[in-house]
Amino acid sequence: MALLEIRDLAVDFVTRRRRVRALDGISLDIDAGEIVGMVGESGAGKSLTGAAVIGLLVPPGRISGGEIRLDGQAITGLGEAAMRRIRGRRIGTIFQDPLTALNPLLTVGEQLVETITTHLPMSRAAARKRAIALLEETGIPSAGRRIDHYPHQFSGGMRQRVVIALALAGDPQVIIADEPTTALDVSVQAQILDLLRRLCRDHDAAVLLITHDLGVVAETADRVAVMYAGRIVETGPTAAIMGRPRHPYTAGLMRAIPTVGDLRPRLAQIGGAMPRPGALPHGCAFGPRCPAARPDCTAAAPVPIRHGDVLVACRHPDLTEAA
Amino acid sequence: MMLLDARDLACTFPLPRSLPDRLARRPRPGIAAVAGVTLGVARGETLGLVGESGCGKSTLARLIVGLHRPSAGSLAFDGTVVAPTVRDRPPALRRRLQMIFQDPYASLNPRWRVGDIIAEPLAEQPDAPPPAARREHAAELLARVGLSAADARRHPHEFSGGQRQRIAIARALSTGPDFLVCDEPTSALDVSVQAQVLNLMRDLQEAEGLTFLLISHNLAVIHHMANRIGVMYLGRLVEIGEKTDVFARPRHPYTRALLATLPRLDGVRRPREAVAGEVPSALSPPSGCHFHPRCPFARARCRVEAPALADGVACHGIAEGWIPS
Ligand SMILES: Nc1ncnc2c1ncn2[C@@H]1O[C@H](COP(=O)(O)OP(=O)(O)OP(=O)(O)O)[C@@H](O)[C@H]1O
Ligand SMILES: Nc1ncnc2c1ncn2[C@@H]1O[C@H](COP(=O)(O)OP(=O)(O)OP(=O)(O)O)[C@@H](O)[C@H]1O
Ligand code: SF4
Ligand SMILES: [Mg+2]
Ligand SMILES: [Mg+2]
Repeated sequence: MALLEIRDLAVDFVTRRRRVRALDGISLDIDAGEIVGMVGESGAGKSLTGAAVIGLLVPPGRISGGEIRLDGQAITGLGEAAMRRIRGRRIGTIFQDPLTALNPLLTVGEQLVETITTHLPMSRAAARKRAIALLEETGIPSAGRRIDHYPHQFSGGMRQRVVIALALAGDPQVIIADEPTTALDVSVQAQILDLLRRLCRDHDAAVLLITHDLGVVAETADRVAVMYAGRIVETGPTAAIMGRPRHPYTAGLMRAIPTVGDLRPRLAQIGGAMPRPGALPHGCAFGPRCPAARPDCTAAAPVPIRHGDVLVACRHPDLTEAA
Repeated sequence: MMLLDARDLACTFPLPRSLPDRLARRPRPGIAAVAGVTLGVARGETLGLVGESGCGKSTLARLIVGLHRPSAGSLAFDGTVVAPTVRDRPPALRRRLQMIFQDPYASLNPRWRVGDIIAEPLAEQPDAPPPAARREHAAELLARVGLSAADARRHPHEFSGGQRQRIAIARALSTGPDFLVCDEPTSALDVSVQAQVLNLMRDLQEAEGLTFLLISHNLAVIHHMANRIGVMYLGRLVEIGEKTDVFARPRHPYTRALLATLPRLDGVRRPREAVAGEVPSALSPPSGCHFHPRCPFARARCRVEAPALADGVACHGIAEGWIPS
């Protein structure tokens, strides 16, 4: 049994006028000591998946199907009070948006100490020591002095590291990291990814690493889930998927990455845009943008099919050229 | 002639003084976020700016668009010295000089509709077109960044992180600027949207002769977009040069270390070599050359004297020839 199990998760946006499906049939397991990377286009539903797991969907979003289990226990139907105890202590979250995760009126230290003492039996003095250690671990120079500064006195990347320190404050079993390194330069990024790997290994934590950066996934994740328009279109071991993407969308993502040394004036882009929730085309949601689409692709949404270790939701995975 | 010319631009943020400091009458401490940067950006080019988190890239960007008041130095745009803060700059200059911010969450007013957010910089112009024309313009801009005209009626919270960044880009484009400061414009975007945005920036540059100052921690993005590259370290510009030269033959020891951190994309996990040594603190920067505690080539002079930028590099070892090129 995996530490975190997501089964057939569906999330709808429900308004007076209509109900729109934003996530559909999301199934994913994360073991203790494992890092699963979640990638996909902006708006694919990555952050929504994270929000659903920690019970922080914002109305009109709501879970309308499926189940989420933590260490075997279903947490999908728990009330707000029970979820609040789980958040921070058992599931730590690094939010995509560092500014809203931080209170501008409190110093970084006040926020860290508050979080630590809420979750762990510690005196304020001990909590302050731990807070400084956490800031050091995330690579903030002069942590002992920086701790008394306000969020606006930090650079974008430094605020992001403070958010990471906050997520780790309660020593959680599961870490949901939503774009934890997006605002960071390569060397700090390397440091943060090392830290995530170390936590995962030493604390046997399960990590869901949400990112649009395939480079980050390549070097950090054990397995990858590729999302498109509210569904997972391909999952499997990182090396298998990056070495030979089978879903045409995954292959397109791989080709869009700029690399140093590549002198093309334009990057390969996947034509068109991802459909918004509620406006999905018939059949495969990627169909209208897919270079390998065949007439039968519009029939019904493809179900995931196993190819070795990899699950692919595509009718014609063999038409995708090895990238 | 350069379209933008910064001379010795500096910005120090004051910090609160502790009680012992005040008793001892010690001077008010400060963070020298930008410490004397001189650079020019030529019309129609893309200058890429790289450097570690906290080295002052965003502060430099904000100085250029007038969101911080410089503590020293001057800025000229199109041959004329400009007022330090945006409030004192004429609308015509504000129209020409726009910025895309690093944080797409903080830069969009949550209570406004997207259409109004996009049209705002245009609406504050003295010769602003009437509201109907502005709405039409906003719809066009939305389409240009890969969103739909119908999105104009929505609020920012209904969009994902990447979608919000596209809204921010549409807004910056609304006044038809000729100089755009882009602070991490695609770092919140996935690669396929990033490819669209970068291609869009290129198209705009070709069609309208736009000039970019592009800040990114993604060296591949910089390599793809920039004509020239500036490298910052702890508030100072340590190297600047043609992109091809800097990537092929980085000269400053920091640039060399930075380029060695390039990630690879083959699905094989390997620990990445971060630049060795502690990231120094902007609160108490090292003496002399700020890089000396991490520099494998450092000599006695480096600890006492800050090297000046000469021939595109600020390094004693390069200037005196003890570092092999
Ligand atoms: N309150 C809301 N009302 C309507 N639509 C919403 C709302 N919140 C999110 N959405 C939509 O749900 C979809 C999924 O959003 P989500 O934030 O999960 O994307 P994401 O994959 O995290 O993207 P990014 O990489 O840009 O952060 C998007 O199309 C978004 O526009
Ligand atoms: N308003 C402020 N008050 C005090 N200090 C500030 C302020 N804004 C920035 N700083 C400090 O100035 C330094 C440079 O910050 P800046 O945001 O320019 O860095 P950056 O290079 O953009 O970093 P990142 O890559 O993380 O965005 C940092 O040490 C930061 O803490
Ligand atoms: S000036 Fe000295 S310490 Fe600084 S980079 Fe050059 S050799 Fe290294
Ligand atoms: Mg997101
Ligand atoms: Mg910045």
